[in-house]
Amino acid sequence: MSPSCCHALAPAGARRGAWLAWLVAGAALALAWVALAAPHAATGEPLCALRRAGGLACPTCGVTRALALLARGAWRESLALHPWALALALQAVAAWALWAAWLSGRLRARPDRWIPHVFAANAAALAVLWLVRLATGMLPD
Amino acid sequence: MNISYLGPLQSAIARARSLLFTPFRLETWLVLGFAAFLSDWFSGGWGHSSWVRKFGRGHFTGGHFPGPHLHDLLPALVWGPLLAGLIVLAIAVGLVFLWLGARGKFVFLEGVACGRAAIVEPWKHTAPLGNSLFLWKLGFAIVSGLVILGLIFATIGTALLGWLGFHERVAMAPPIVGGIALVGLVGLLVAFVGLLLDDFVVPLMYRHGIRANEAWRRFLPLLREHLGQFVLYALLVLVLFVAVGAVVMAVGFATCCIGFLLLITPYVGQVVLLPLHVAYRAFGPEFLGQFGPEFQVFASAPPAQAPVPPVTPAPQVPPVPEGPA
Repeated sequence: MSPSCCHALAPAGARRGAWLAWLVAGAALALAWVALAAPHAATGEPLCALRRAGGLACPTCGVTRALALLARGAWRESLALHPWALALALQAVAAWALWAAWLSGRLRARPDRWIPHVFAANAAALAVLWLVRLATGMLPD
Repeated sequence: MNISYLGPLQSAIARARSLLFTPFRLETWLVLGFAAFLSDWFSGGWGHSSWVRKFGRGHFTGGHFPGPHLHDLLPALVWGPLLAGLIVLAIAVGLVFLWLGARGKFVFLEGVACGRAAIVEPWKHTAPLGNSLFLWKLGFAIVSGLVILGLIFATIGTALLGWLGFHERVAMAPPIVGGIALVGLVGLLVAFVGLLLDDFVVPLMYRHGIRANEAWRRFLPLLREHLGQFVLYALLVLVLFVAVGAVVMAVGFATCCIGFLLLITPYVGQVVLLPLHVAYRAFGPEFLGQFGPEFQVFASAPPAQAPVPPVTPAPQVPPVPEGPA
């Protein structure tokens, strides 16, 4: 694909910049978690257009509210509202930890190579979960 | 000449897959996403136009129109310069956006052509091409804008004459309908020229390192010879846009509309939809490449540089014998 004039893809960014990005990402995650733990966070009416138009909750309906419940420590209620919220939170923490492991040289393989697979697996899991909840009448109101 | 439509599309998709997924590298996505953002968002995408519309509604049309009395002239003295300043500012911002978009076109094209995720270097060495494209786009925008505005004013004027009773209202209907149809037709023509510019002329500029006018001179004979095929290409692009739009809408609705929020966020939207941006950027040049080696942007080594004047050898000056002063 590459003509002779073309260079290879740009190498990984400077290590210092990568660590800074890692820190900023961690701070953003922590900030989001604190915001979700606030008493009135994610308690309003969901914005889901599918739910409003068709009365049917979409595959991600309830994730924000479930994450808020999780941040407040109500993990049972969180699981009942949307079981995949806990998985998403764990994945975010795992991704951040893997990123640090790679930056520090403890992990040889680049963790970002798994992003498409993780993305596809999450999409599939959400779709299956939605169908199961739809069939069993467990979708949130 | 057998011209294929699906072949170039498949090649473009393969190029996008190869560039973005084998292997997947986050920084490639972030950098190329920025190039796509420069290339597309500043070229009159949804964000730009909606921003201009919102700006126009909020500041230009909602103000109080000054009356004839002296005490009414004071607001006019304040609002007049403010309005003029805002118009000048809006024009300046529009020009900067147009320039950024024109420069970004070549940065993104080089990224797609060379599989290179870089901003600064392509930004620098494609500067003359981007500036030439900017001037061409500016001229085209002014001319097409004046034509469309002229047609709109003529249609409105005709309607007003009928409304005020200068002419039979029934007799006014054909010119009004004709005017509206003409505006639509000119709009379609402008969109078609814009598509040809972005999909074929820009790659030709990049391929040969030539200015916009020269690229049009090389492209127009090809267009005249294969007009039907280029119109079919434009229709295929339209169909693809509708199909992709439907899929994007479905995904957006399936994610509690959070997907829409991501897509409308400048830069983030381009990163999320990068495979589509790269495939579409590659589609035009892949299609164009079927018309001959001089139109192949990806297969050969693109110079990606402004035309360099031929280097003339320095005149041979006989050596001056050194001697005592």
